[in-house]
Amino acid sequence: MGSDSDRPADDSAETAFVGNAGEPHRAGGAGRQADQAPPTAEELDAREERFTRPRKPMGPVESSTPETVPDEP
Amino acid sequence: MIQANAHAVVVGEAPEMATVRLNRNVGLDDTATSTRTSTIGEPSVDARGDDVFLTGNWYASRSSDGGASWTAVDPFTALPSAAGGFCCDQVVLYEPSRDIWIWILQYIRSGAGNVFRVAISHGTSMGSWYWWDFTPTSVDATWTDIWFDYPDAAVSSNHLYITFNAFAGDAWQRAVVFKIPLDALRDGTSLNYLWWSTTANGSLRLTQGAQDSMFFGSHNGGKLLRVYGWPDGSASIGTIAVTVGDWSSGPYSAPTPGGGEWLKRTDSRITGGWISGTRAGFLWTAGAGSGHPMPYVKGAVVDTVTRALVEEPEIWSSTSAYAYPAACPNANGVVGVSLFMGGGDRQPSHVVGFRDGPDWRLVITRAGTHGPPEGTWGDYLSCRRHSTRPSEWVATGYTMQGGTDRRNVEPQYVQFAIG
Repeated sequence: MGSDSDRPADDSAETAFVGNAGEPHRAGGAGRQADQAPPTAEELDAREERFTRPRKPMGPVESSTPETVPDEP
Repeated sequence: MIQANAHAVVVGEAPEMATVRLNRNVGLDDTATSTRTSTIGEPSVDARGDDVFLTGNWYASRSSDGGASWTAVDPFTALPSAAGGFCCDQVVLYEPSRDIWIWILQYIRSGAGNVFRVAISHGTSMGSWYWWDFTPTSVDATWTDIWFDYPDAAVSSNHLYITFNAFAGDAWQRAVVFKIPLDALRDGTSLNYLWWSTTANGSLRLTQGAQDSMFFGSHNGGKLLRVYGWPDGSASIGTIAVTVGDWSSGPYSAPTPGGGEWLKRTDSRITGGWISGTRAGFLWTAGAGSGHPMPYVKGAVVDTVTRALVEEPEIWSSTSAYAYPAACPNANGVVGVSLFMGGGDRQPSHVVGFRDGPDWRLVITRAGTHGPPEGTWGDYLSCRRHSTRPSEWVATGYTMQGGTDRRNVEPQYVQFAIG
């Protein structure tokens, strides 16, 4: 549990950047883009199939023992 | 009732113990979702009194009677399209002090980049939306090959915070945090915001229940947990680093009856965060090991003043896995959770509950009858403080009912309290 060793090794603050997203879009307003057709059941089935692909990485991970791959004969 | 703690799981009920009371526990039928459900459900929900808005892959639905009846909302057409069209991930929040609904939608890549949208509807005119679109290059002109994925969102007293992972192709590049003033969202004015990004940690999970500062955390699958703090009135982000106890970041396996798998997509990223008083807590799914025969929920609680790790709560069972925890404190600081339980003799099922001292009081809202045929489940749930009954929580989950097709996925809306 908590101890002095738990204290941050580096707690230097970082500064955020400023952005601007402009005025909001409203339905029927100038920001309106082409409507999207609703998907068919088959198109959603295809999306479901794509979920069987490996999940995208969550970010950097702590390195563990590297994989060992033998040479092919 | 399931009583789980760091040392044991006990099935039964002791009369003196607090229990979970399900004030509303409703499965959404095909009409409510337009049968646009997926085994990667990613449901999100919030409530304004009896007005409820619930989203998931690839549907949205509204209720005006506390969940008794639902009306489908089409996330593909309710708003004009953007980028390559509506994709998938959605997050819903209701912010009571400004009386606004916040609906975050992720759009498909068009070229290298995509769009995420922050749509606002006032509480008294739910369904009349205005919105801002964020593209990677509108945030940083150099992000020409970047697209956003995997959102999280939470509010503090005066800001909406949103996190995303940023990818180039399928390669993770950085995590980004947006800090957006709630007043501007309410007023629908030109939107100035702050943003910050890091390449040190991914999948940043925000803390629900924030007031003066937002905290968010990530652990990179190891023992070093980094908690970031962003004061509401500041442009500076600080960090706290703590070392948690041993845990395993996989592999994840919890075969269900019949030998099916439901944790093929699971990884160790943090999926639940809360702040209560000075303590920021985080929950994630850990692999079996260290006395845990099944994958389980591991947690860490950090005192943001003393900067020390103060607790490492766990939710585990010797017979089934727990996974994908979401968390939120109620107005009394009691931590509510929404998560899945499955494996062993149990198909993936939805569970809610709360922390009672060192213990967890949990109840299964609905048992699944089947599991996903391809082992795909997740990737997140939601748990919120109820806006007008702040000692209670609202939460989402889902199960499969009557079959293994995506159409058999049934989202669950739950409003629960301490019994």
